[in-house]
Amino acid sequence: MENTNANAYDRAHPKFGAELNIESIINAPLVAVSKANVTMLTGQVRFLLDYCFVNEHKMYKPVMITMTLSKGVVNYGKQPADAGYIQVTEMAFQMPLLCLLPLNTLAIEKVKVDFDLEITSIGSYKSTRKKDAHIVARKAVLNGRVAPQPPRTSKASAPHQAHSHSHLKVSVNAGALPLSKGLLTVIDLYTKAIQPLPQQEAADSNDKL
Amino acid sequence: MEQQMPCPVCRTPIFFNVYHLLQGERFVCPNCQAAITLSPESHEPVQNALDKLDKLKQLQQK
Repeated sequence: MENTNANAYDRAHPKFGAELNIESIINAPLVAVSKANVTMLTGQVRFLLDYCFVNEHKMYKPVMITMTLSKGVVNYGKQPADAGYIQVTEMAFQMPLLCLLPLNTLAIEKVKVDFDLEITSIGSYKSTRKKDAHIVARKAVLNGRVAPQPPRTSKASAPHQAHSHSHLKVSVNAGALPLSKGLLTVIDLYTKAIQPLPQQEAADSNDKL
Repeated sequence: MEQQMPCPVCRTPIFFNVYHLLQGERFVCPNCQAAITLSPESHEPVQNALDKLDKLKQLQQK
């Protein structure tokens, strides 16, 4: 319980000059970016499951959209000069909504983390892995802190002031990435199965169902 | 964003835009001249899904 309270206090009152293991300092922005990516992807998967599929008896079935295909068909019983030699026939076909939507994966495309690191102490610990033991007996541990921002004033005579914030800049670019291979396979599978049905046959097959 | 689907008659790719399909536009197969349109009864579910997708993209870009 005390630990939880301590964590909450640490989050609410950040210590800019605190010494931390160098790995955790570098990890922190990358973990945050990874979590943001997961949040975006989860939202998209939820959208796909909620709007493009119907859950029936623990099975996801795609939501189907009806489309109309019109094509001119030559009536060989008539002469080319006759009216109705080319008849426009209409057929209905269904395709999954999934194949119709302009889906793309919106995710973090590029991350740039920029900070100056100040090494405050160096330590070491004994290697516990047998494989590594004969190569390096001890492993180094670097502790450091994010260096404070340099003073903005260019005057050499200006007195040094303590800065309340450190220099850490993370720039993130979100972009549209190609769809995942699994989703592409599903879309490809459905797209290849698109076949037109004449209106009458379509009505008959619906009756049978 | 332009998408494509195989022509149900000759399998040639037909390029289409779903927003134009919703406005009633026909897209014609470059090979067999078959035209595809969205059936009137499908307008509502497609429009709903597109609205939700656009909202989701806007939220994620913020």
